[in-house]
Amino acid sequence: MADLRLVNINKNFDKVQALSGVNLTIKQGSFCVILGPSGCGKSTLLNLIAGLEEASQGKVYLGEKEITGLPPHKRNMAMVFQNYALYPHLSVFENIAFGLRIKKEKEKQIKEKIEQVSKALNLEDKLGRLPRELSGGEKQRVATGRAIVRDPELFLFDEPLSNLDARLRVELRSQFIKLHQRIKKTIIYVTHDQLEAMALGEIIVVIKNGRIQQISPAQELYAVPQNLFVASFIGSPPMNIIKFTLKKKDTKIQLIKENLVIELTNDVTQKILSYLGQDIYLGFRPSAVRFGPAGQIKGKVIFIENIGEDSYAHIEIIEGTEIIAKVNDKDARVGKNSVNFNIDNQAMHFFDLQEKRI
Amino acid sequence: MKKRIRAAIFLITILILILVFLFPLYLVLKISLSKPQDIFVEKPTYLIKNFTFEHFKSVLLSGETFLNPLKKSLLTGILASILGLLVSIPAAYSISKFNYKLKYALILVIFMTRMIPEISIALPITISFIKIGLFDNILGLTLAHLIRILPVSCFILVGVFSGFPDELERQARIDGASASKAFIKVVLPLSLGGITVAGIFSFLLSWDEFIYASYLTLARPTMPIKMYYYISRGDIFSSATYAVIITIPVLILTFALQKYIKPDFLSGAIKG
Ligand SMILES: Nc1ncnc2c1ncn2[C@@H]1O[C@H](COP(=O)(O)OP(=O)(O)O)[C@@H](O)[C@H]1O
Ligand SMILES: [Mg+2]
Repeated sequence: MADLRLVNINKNFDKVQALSGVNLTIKQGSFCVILGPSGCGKSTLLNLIAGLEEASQGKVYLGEKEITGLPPHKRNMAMVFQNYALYPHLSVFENIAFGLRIKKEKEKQIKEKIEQVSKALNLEDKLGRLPRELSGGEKQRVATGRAIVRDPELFLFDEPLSNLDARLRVELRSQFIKLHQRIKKTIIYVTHDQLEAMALGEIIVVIKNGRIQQISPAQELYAVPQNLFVASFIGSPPMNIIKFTLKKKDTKIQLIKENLVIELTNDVTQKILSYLGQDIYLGFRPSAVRFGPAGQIKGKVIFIENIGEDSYAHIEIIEGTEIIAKVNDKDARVGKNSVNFNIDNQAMHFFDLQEKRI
Repeated sequence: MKKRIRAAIFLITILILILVFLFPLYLVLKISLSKPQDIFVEKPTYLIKNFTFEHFKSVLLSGETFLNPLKKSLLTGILASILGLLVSIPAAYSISKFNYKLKYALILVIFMTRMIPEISIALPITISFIKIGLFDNILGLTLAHLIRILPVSCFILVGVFSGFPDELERQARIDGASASKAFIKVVLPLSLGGITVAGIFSFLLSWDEFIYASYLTLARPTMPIKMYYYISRGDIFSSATYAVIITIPVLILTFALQKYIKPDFLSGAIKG
């Protein structure tokens, strides 16, 4: 067991550049989630780690050993594909046993291992079935079992839950955490679902268009997004992002957009002072909105959305610019028509025109 | 109402087409089951007047005269389809791994070999086969038949392998199988349907082959050659009977395979 290191990886398919300049170290035994919208290169990255694809440029290391050109069967990694890829001609038992048979393990050993795994995954009474006789959740568990039974160094999961319905997805999520606690092996888990990523990952790698955007623990990703993409991708409902011009009036720093003026408190202005006179992006989460009659921002409530315990108000602040604000119980009077509010200055995020965090 | 009329027209057209295609076949069958006095007349009837198994009896019971050609045709067909599969399975599998453009360029090249008329290459082939002792034997004829068989079975199998889900193969590689083991343990068993189709097509291509067989046989004819022998002697009853016997397995196999002979078959819609 060792750390996995990707160094300067590029991957091209004909004209498409699926990965560019990927540098990534995944610590031994960690649960790493790779997160990004569909088509951003997540699967390509996993395939590269597994040895199913070869990098156009760059190197892959496992510990000190370079494994860049090593074929998958010499890497001792297990991977679960999005569609589970169960062998349709083999029973559940034989599906799980496939890797062991390739390794030519003893029949008795195979039986023992499968018994153990099927017990852990609650598949004992399904062992004789064919894949087409299984439900989606069961297929998923068989695929996971097939990965576990080989006792690999590294687990790769490519959107393993994305084909299941929402309830099952949440239910099976905890399975991966328990699995990780039990086996303490490195897990690399790909998903496009930011909630799933936040729930699972010790460390999350956000990818967009084949480039790594940020590598952070879940909380940090939410609290300190390093660029505009991460800011808007993480969190639900998403962060409000508005482009302002930064101006100084007397001693006060102001954000100005058309006739909307937001005066900032002095403690937040230090880091953005150098952008005076320029355009910047302001980002704030729906929870950073503080309603109150003295609020300097005036808006018109378009509608209120109730999602379980929380309510979110969609508010038009200038013509054509809407924001989403979380409504607390005590803000219940936020009804129709106009409201006033402030944005918690501590919870503001600023990004420059290159979309980088200021 | 309109729909019904259209369906009816469609059905009638199909029926007429079937009749047109089946009519010669029927005539052959009729001749093989009729007495000579019903055939050698000025106005033969369409229906069988005096039914008889005479011709079948005389052909089937003619001992080695019938059994030897049958044996040779069967053995050549079986050997040719097995050898054909042994060559075209790995070839087609490799071709299926290329990208779309290259794949079809290669298939086109393979089919170009069929643009040369058989009748013109049969002669040089025969001359060289005589030199190396492949004349008038099963192996020689089998090799000649492979010229027709390989492009077709490659084409079918490229379709089969191209439609094979990549993910299953990748999974096998992940599970520790080398590329060849993944092929043997996963791709092959799941492609058996398509491979069987290719094998049976190969058999049929050999079974009723005439040109190569007429050059490459002397004392040991195949079924079509034997049939031609009767035609050239003017024995239309024996030749009709042979024609029926040659056609029956073709009909049975084609019928059994019809669910695979669909337009979407070659695009890889086959499911193992
Ligand atoms: N085998 C391939 N051939 C050509 N393009 C590919 C291939 N695999 C992936 N791509 C392209 O690379 C990009 C990344 O794909 P992928 O890694 O599958 O994304 P994700 O898994 O994040 O949805 C996409 O634009 C996709 O079209
Ligand atoms: Mg993917």
